[in-house]
Amino acid sequence: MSDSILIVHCAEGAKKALARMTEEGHELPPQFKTFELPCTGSVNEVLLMENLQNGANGVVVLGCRRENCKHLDGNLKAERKVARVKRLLSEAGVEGKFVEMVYAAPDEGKRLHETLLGYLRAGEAEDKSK
Amino acid sequence: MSDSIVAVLCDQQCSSKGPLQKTSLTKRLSQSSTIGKLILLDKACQDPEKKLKKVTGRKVLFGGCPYLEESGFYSLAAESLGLDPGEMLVTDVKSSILDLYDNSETIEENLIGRLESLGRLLADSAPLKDRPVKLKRNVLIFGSGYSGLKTALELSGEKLSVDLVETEEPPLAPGCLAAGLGSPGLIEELTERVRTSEHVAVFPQTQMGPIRSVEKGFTVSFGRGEPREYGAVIFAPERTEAPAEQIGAWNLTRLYEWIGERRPIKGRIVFVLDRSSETPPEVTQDILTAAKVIKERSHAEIWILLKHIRVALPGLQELYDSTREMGVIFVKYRNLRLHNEFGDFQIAGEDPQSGAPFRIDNPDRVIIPGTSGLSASAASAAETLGLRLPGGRYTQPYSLWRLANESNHPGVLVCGSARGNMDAEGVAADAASVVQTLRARMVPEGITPVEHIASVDADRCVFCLTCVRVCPYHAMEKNIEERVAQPVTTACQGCGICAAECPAEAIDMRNLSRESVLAAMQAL
Amino acid sequence: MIVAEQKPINMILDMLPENKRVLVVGCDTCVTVCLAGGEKEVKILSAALRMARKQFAEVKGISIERQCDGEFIAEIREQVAQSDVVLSMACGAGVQMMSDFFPEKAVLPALNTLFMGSNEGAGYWLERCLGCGDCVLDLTAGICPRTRCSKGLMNGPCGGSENGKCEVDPENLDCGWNLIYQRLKSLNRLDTLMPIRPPQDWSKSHDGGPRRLIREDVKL
Repeated sequence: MSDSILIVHCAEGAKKALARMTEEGHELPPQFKTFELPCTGSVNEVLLMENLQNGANGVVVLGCRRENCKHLDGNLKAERKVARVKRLLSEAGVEGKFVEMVYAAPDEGKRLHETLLGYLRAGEAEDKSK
Repeated sequence: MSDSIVAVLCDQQCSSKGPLQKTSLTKRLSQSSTIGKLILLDKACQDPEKKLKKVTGRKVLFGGCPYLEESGFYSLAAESLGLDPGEMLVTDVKSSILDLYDNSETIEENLIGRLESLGRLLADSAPLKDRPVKLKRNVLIFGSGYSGLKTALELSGEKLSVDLVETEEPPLAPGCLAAGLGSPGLIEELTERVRTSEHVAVFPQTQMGPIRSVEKGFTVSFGRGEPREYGAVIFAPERTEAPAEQIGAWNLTRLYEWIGERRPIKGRIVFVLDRSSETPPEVTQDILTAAKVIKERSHAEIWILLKHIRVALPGLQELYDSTREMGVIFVKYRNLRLHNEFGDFQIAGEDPQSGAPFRIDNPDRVIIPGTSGLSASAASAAETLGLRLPGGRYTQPYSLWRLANESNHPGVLVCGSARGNMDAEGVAADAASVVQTLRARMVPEGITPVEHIASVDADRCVFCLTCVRVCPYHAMEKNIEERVAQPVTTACQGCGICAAECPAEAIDMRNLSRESVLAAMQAL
Repeated sequence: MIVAEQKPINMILDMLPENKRVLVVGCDTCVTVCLAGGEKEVKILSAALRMARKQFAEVKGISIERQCDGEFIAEIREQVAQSDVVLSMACGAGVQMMSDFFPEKAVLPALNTLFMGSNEGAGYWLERCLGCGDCVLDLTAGICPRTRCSKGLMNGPCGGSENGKCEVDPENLDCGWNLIYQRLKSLNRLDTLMPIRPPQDWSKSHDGGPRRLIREDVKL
């Protein structure tokens, strides 16, 4: 089921974190796709829900570390939207879909890689348990 | 399609995953309804002018690597092809595609997806012909202490008008006190020069109204006067020192007042450092300078209790050595107990190495430096300006160790002691650095709005004020006559938070509308 | 303005019949401003319904200016005709009017309408007015004794007022009559409290059937 995960990331720290990740030689499996926005603060519930509805299995919102957002707290606002969508998906009994908020600094290539792969494995585990 | 997108890719020969295969890519793109033509440049970074001659088109999507960006290839492209914002998009296909996936099939698929996706965004984009806005050549400086005065004088040489807001804070931050003592009347002299300068006007903080973002910068009213306009605002208050935590102990500010007034300090004087946190070197400098002055005037018995000595300032090691030579007693401690009977102290501790106990009975004066931070009035002014104050000390956004003069609010600069512990030389250097940054902002041609600024659909706006409240830059204004929210185009930084929060979906970012973004995500 | 909040989605799902065509209708006025039922919320709820545990034949989402004026409801006759059930994201007034227009359809409420209140700041709405039909705010310095006093007294406070708090919730609830007293005192108008006021005429409030307001000078 986890064959399509969209990573929505900001043009600042998160973009650099992804670049650092690939510089260090960490690659991602084909399930992942990336899309850049100026700030994760411009992500709202509609964007998350409609991507899931239109076929993505998961949306990962990747932003700068909590105190590093260039626009003060766009990343924190994104986190609240992600939390609301999580609750909604769970209460509505939606299966096979997820959203997650991830914070990354430009020097955290390895940790970012592990976190992202973790979401893939979680999805596969869910499939196997059915 | 009339507005057909031309995709221009560097063939990425230097990458282990390259070069890109023209035939296969062209074949896949032939089905595309967005991309009209594909041009592959062989090693784009080499001889760029020549390579760019191959490129023509009204809307161009470039795909390259970080080096291409750094080497100015895209600025050159924009210029030579005469492309405005909205007619060109750039994407790094190396870091985020070639290096991200391991097999060539996935790479090619994602490359096509990326081109289709961004092609879709570009197809929906309108060319922007913004006229640069010339900022008002006035600057507002908040703070009349050493930092503010120094900055005002630096700026008055720049053919700008400066308004200085006088605050009721002590004029020197802890860490600058040594400067005041070294040259008595320093503050008075600077104040005199500022007051007599024809470029500087002074206003009291009590009369200062709220700050607003406008097209040409900012406005502030003083008292009942007309709002005054500024191209930039400089936040330069002094940090103030908290009172010493113990009854009867002095903090440095009190000590320096006493010394400045030449009142006698005699007997047994004990300085206690490093109580709640490490003492910064600038504060250590203040303490050693004070100790020397006291010793010179009254030959008092002076003790300095500390955990570590930090001498990371020019001249501080020599100051430390000369202070020891004068007979000031330095004692390192652990487990310090300060027993305080309403100002009568008994001090006891242990040597950190040997564990041997020591005691100091009945000192005549105990001095404990207080932690420093912004005063309440400065903190509230920072809030009015929309400045982030992480940790209560540094007013800058990017990370806690990067002390830039540029705050998170474009056009609001931070100078001097508000940025951290600084001695007098540091403040002077900071003032000079602010002038540099200011020059870059107040360029004669003016500044151009960011491409993706907010755009409000007046028909959908319900005037709920959500965007006005949520904007990090105070860049959304209430237009009372039209009953809609309106962005201040030179203050808006295109973060998109207002668009995300608007309950009526009345706000879009220019050339990044919610519809285009969703369609672009689907096209991946 | 009218303040409402969304029902929990599992309750909404329980209301909706399976395998039918659902039309979600939002309202662009009060419920947009209190973030419960505007364009954005219509999209979020519609997407949730499409992916939920219950299957629907179709879920469509639209929004109209107001659901309390027939002219706007008339504009969506087509869309309603092509649905089996209508999920209204308007306040109770809107749900009822929609139901009057489309009596053959099930018109279901996605929101719980709460109160008439003010926006005290981002994300915080406070009940202010009960619609009692007999406003006495001139006598109480602009503080309502119906909503702010737990007993709705006209000559308060009662014995349960302690340290400016109401005994119903001494930590969080201010005694309304203490607020009235303090404000009248600062305005030098304590004399306003001297006359004993008669109890409220509740017949002017909701009292046996829906109230009507008719303006003969405006009727066509």
